[in-house]
Amino acid sequence: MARYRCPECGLVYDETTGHRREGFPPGTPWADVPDGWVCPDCGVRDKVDFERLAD
Amino acid sequence: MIARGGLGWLEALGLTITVGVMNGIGINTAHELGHKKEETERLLAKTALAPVAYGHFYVEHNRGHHVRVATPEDPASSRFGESFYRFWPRTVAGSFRSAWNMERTRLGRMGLSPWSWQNDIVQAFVLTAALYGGLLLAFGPRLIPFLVIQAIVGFSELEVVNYLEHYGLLRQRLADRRYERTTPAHSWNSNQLVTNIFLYQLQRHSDHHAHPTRRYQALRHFEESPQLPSGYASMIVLALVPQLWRRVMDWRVTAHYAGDLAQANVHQSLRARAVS
Repeated sequence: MARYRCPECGLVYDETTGHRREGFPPGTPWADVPDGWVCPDCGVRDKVDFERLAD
Repeated sequence: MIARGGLGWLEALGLTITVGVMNGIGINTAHELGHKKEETERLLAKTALAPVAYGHFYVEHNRGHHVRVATPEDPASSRFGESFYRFWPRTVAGSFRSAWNMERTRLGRMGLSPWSWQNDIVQAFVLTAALYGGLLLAFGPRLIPFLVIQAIVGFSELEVVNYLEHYGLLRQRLADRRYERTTPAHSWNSNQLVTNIFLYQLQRHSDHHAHPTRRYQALRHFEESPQLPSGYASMIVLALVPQLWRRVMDWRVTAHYAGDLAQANVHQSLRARAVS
């Protein structure tokens, strides 16, 4: 299970926990997050901008 | 005071507009709080938007306006040659539509209807309905015109500020069709001392758009960003008189793009002329 971080505001998407408020239940793989998804906290970085964190 | 009677219609109107302006300034506070990550601050943002019945701003501003700012797709970015009075219906309707669609998408992923209590817009309008309902119960239906007018004044104040923050500015498309990132060049700034104190440094707008979650105390002023000739307060007055606004602002947009309006966000009525 990988984690991805927004390079602008630091929000972390963790595949283990998903993001309930955004409608991604725990275990949702990053690949299933839509390409057009925008960081819900800062709104200025897209999914493609997120950086994978070291395990 | 209005409910008690005894005010002439002009006095009542004056009081209504004053309350509207005050609640409009409240939107500025809601704006700052709505960008925060803490739940308490976000809840306060929704509360501050309730009196002007503009709760969808909380959704649209962070997830819509900041994403699409200074592009033709953003209802809240005004275009070169677009008067405030043409901008107003476009932003009021477009912002609500956009916010509703975003909440529908988000709740759809959760398998919920948009008419769910988890919809931030539904929550916000229930708050407004409770507030207005309570006031009407306490003071009677005489208050209806007061509530309607002060709300329109309040959110129009927000929209006139939206109007002047990005007038004519455009992010260019990159080779992969995405828009370039928002930079200091995509917001009008003003470093006037007094209005900046009143508005939580909102006029340091470029830095805010580049780093939306940065707290207002830390926002910086950029000399290289396009500068408004005055603070927001005087620019609002100009925006209400389109001829004056265009005389003061149009050449500044043209100068910012070194005469090449093909790089600006131009209203369709002027597009053919601007790019020829």
